[in-house]
Amino acid sequence: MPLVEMQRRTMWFGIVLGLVSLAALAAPRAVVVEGPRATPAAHGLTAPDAGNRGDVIAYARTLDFDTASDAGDTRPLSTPACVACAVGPLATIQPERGTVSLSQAELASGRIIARIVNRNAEGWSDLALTPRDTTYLWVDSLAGSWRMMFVPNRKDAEMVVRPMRIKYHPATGHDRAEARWRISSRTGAVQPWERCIKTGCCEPH
Amino acid sequence: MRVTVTHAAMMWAGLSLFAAPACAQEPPSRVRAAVVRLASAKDRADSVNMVLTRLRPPSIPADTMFDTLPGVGDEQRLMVGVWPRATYGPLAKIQPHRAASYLTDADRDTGAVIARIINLDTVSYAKFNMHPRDTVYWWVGRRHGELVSVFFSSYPGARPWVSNLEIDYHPSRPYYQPIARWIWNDRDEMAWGTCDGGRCCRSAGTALR
Repeated sequence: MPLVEMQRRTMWFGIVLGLVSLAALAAPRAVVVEGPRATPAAHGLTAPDAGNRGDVIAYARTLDFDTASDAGDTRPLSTPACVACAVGPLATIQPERGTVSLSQAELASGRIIARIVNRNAEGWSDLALTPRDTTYLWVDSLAGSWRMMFVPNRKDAEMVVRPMRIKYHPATGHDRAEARWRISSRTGAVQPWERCIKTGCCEPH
Repeated sequence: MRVTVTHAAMMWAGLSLFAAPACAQEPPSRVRAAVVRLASAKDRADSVNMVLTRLRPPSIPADTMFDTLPGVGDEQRLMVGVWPRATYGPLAKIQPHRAASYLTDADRDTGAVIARIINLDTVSYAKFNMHPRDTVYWWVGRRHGELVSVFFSSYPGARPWVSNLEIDYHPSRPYYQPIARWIWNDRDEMAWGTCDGGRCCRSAGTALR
């Protein structure tokens, strides 16, 4: 066989081998990419009340709250429209990592979506914050009405229940849970705001 | 939530990541990066004029340049003094410039406005150059070789306010959307905003000596 022919065959063999390798790489061998898991349900639990408070707190402690600074928010809480007033306690809100994967139906059945850590020795009754302790945010829907329940870690402390609304937005590719302190346009008070389902954000009404 | 993908899809996804800065993230044609070269200003007053002219052209409504959506900006009552011995001050909004997440290193080194701050109250504030009912533009860039923030007030006669600039790098989790917030830094608020996709800028807002 002439040398030129051998070189040509070798070149074609190399090209074919390369194409086969690429095809093999692109073959549908499935690999799995993990997205954020949806916040797990509180199995067997209904909305927090005096009877099941301990179980709800135990469930809350099994959840995974994002402690990164850009996932949550820290602020001194404020009284509505109060220039020159003393500041309230310093509070950090941290989202449960899986809220961005929740559907509306899952949220309606009841979930804890965030926790609030009060870093001060004074309480804040509006949001059921007790001194230097943690309060959990439970959200559910009763007969079509959304509500947000502030459940203090301390079982003898009062819970606070607030009506809530969801502001809907298109699904985004952003898979990070986020919780913020926002000023209520209605009352002027600082209140929680969180991306609580794939396509919406929750805030007290 | 589990998503099944093929190697081929992953290859394309990888390639598209490289392609994104060139095409998908191009800002709308009317919103260009607010690059302002302060080095060419004759004096302080001229630098203020340059920024205000660039950011408030009569032909373009201001809200087309800055994102006014509540989720991407922030509105808080800023504090006077240092926590815990502090009182509430003015209610202030911070809103990102729509092109802030597309800035290049060259833009930032030349200097660009990344956000605006709106004082909704009738009281002045010691930081961020905020006067009563004022709009302040947050410029980041180099001054005498050093990266700084300069806050330009639109209050008549107000001088530029030079403050610090801290940059956080997060190339593995870039922001594809301009964002600006008030953040808490141990004892006081700071302004925080997207400098470009992979970096974030922070400033305490106090005067730099």
